[in-house]
Amino acid sequence: MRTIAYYKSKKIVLNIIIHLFLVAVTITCLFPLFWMISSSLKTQQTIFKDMSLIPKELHFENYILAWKEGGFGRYSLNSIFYATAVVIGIIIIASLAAYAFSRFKFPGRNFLFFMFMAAMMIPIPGSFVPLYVLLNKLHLRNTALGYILCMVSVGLSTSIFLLKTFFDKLPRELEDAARIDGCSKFGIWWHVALPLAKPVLAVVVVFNALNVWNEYVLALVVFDNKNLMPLQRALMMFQGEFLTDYPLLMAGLTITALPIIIVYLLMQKYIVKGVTSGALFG
Amino acid sequence: MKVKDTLENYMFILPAVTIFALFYIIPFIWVFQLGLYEWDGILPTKTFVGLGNFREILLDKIWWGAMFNAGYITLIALTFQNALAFLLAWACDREIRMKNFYRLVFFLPPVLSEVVVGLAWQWILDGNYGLLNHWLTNLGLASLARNWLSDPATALNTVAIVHSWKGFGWGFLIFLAGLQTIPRTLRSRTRRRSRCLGFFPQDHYPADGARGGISGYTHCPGDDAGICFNYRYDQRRAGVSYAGAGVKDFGFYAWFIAFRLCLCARDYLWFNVGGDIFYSIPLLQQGAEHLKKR
Repeated sequence: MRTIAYYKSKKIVLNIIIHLFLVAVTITCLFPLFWMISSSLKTQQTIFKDMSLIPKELHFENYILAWKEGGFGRYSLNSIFYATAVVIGIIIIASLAAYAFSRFKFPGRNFLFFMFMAAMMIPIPGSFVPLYVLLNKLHLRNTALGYILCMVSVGLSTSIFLLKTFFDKLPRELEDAARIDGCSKFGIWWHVALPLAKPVLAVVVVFNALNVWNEYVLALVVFDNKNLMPLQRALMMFQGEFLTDYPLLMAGLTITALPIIIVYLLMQKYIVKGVTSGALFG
Repeated sequence: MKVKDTLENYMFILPAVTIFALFYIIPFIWVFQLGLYEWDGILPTKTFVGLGNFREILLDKIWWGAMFNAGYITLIALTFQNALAFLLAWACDREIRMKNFYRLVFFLPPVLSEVVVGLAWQWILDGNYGLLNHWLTNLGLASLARNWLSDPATALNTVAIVHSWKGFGWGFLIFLAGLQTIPRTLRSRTRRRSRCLGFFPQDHYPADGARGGISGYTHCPGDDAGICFNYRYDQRRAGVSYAGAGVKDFGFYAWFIAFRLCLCARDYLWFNVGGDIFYSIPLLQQGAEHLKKR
């Protein structure tokens, strides 16, 4: 006869095995980041010999050097500017479209909505060559506007999908009340629908901001001008220029990754919501 | 009035459709058209070559090599990476400590950019000064140390593993959300049913034996009251018919769980394959560089 103690000890052993597995994966996830930060605090002389995780002397001057000499101050400002502009553009344009898809009836509604949804399956790099030619023709290559417009179009599909799903579930009574009071369609969208959509707007903002901050390939196509480059593009260029200066490169990586990690830690709830709400239709 | 109304409706979608058509749809269609021409991208004259470009590509060994590499990395992502993601989701889908911490950490690699992840790993895997080789040498395994990213024997697998490192968080979150949509009461019921049929050894609910069957069900939420009630009723019945009911139910719940898992696997594939097409883009990236040089 198996006793309660037997089951209890079995449960404890199972829990220990599970925790060991989870902790091992956790260490694998975090270690490269620790190593990146640790390497950024060494000097070019010590980095190839000193393999300790926490260096004996901390050299923060790499960060100052990367920020000033490496131009990371300017690249960070560029990235912040692009992320802000793209997110504002997407919120206005996508919420207008999503509201129309959810509330109004007009010819071609289903076809247009289907077009946006189908585009979620096609990654933009597939059409880079014509995009490059097109941007050249419109004189938008090597301009901030060209990059911002391309990034807005990349983020539209998912944002429209998230917002439309939200509007579909939203009760219409408030909008009816506003309409009776004489509010126009645009007025209702701006004064009633948008404020109510705050929870899902947060998801849209966080997701698109992360996406723009992390984007590299499109920036490679659009920008040659150093002064306009966002962080990721600059980082790859930086690697070419400072190939042997690993501490400086690692400082650059840390400057690029840190804002994302902070945003992720603060906005974790919205990120998880975004990933799973798009994924679970069933 | 009606025309004005419809026009107003179109005003709502006009900005989205314009930007999207210009920067997404037109280039996408243009790809197919340009594929039929010989053109350097600058000169105004284009020469029509029909399917000649396609023929050239299909006969190009480098292109097939790139396709194989992309396919291989995708295969690893769909097998190893998904299996890892599922195991982690399964491990986290229970009452354990630090559950939220694990969830927080596992989604950290996916939020980092490809550039950061790529360069950080490149430094660890560096053939001369990399940490991995340093450790291998210190452990007396110097013969295993190599230039991981440029040795043809290891390069592809190394890239596939780093790719899995960056990507498994997606699968983890989606599988976890999928598992959490399966009501707990259903799962515990399946276990109990199967237990009496000998599907699983009696190891899942040790507390039951001590507390007595019925009191174990007090945690059932209201909407599952029917299930709970039936089960209580079942439990009072004789062993044979009880086991009979178990076969049916076990089958049903197993299907239910399998169906749920298929759904989240499908959605995950959807996400993941999209991502993999993106990852196999270094080739296109080279194309862009090439275009600029012209």
